[in-house]
Amino acid sequence: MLAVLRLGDDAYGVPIRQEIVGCTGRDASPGAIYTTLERLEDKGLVRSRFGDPTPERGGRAKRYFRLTVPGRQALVRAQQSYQRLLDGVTLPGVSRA
Amino acid sequence: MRRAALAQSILTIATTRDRAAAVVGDLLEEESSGSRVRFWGSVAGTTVAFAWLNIVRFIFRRHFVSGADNRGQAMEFWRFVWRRKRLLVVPVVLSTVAASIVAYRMPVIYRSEVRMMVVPQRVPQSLVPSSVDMKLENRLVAIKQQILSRTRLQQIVTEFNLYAKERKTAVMEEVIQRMRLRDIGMETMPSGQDGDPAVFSLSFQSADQRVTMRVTEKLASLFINENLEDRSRMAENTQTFIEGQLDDLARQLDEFAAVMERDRLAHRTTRRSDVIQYEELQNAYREMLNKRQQARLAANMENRQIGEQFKVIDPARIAERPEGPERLNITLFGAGAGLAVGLALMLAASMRPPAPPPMAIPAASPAAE
Repeated sequence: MLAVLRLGDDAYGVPIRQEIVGCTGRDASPGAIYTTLERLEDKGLVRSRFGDPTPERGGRAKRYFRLTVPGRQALVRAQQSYQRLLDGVTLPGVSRA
Repeated sequence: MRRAALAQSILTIATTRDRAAAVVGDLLEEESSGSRVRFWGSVAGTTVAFAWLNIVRFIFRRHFVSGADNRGQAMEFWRFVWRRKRLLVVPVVLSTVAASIVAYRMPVIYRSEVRMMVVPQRVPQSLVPSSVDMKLENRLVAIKQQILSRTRLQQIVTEFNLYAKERKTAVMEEVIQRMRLRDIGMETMPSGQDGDPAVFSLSFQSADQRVTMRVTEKLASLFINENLEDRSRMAENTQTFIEGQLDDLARQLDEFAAVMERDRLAHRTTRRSDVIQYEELQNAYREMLNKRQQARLAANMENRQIGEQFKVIDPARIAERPEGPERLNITLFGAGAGLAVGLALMLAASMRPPAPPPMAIPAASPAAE
């Protein structure tokens, strides 16, 4: 969801995967990415639409994802929970700004 | 781009056409940095992932509380199983009982084995070269083929009255085939020089311990005798062949000698080419005489049974324990099959459309009465 948020209007399969790999350093398989996005869509946290077919992809359209309002709210809740858990904790080797 | 079309068709099995197209487009875009193997791996992985997602969606959308958390969904899942427990328990119990009955009704099988060692010839090869130069392993296979021929096996079946029950319903060819493929075994243990099997075993299995042992002994003796006869036959054939060659050469030499004698009497000089050919024939004849001597020695060695032989090192014994059937495994297999049937029934039941809610019966109005 964070990758979708970071990419904004350019959030489709390839850059989402690259963003996850780039930020986390972990290789996620395409199958895992697509099914996760499907499940997020099932839960109403993201929404998808098809772009126009492009010749470089053999006339195949890109499927763009964007966060829905409940998706943004879920992200905010997760971020707040994470922040609360971090409050008062000093991680070794990490200086707090 | 037939490859892309094929990948799209595969993905369409598990997802919609436009979603499959989008995925294939992404994979093609990414392929520039990867290999074809990776492309097809991704296609397969994504198809499986979508298929699994569909199964989970199907079960959860139909039967479980939507929007429940993971723990709630797990509880719902177990309730789903519990409600349909009969569909699982009944096939498992029936199948297990049926398999155990079958397993305990199957006849007990005993196996007897004889181990034989290959004894090399007792005269050094440098003195008497063997007339049999086929590799031992190949010769074992050839002898086995002869022993397992229909004629030989039929003799054994008749002699020991084997497969009496089967012979009432099946033709002899089927009985022989079963004996050959299922009941007779041969195993070689490559431990000799050049990987030749120095030890090999023959086995037989049947429902009667004593008969099993006697048939195994019979097979072993057939193997030993067939080897001796085969070697002896081969040595004799070699000798006969060399004798024939010697006769041919002698006849040609006689013809040349007659020509040369005629030339001498007529005070003519024999042609140089005829003289050379005559000398070559003489050499060939001498060489063949040596070979005949070797062949005679080899045949003599085989006849005196000091050539390579098979020797029994572990004779056949009456089996103390039955070899089969593996009753526990058969019963477990039955239980597994029942479980599979039960799960299939549960899935089939979950696909049945839900029963419509009961119609509300309007309360009878006092006016109607």
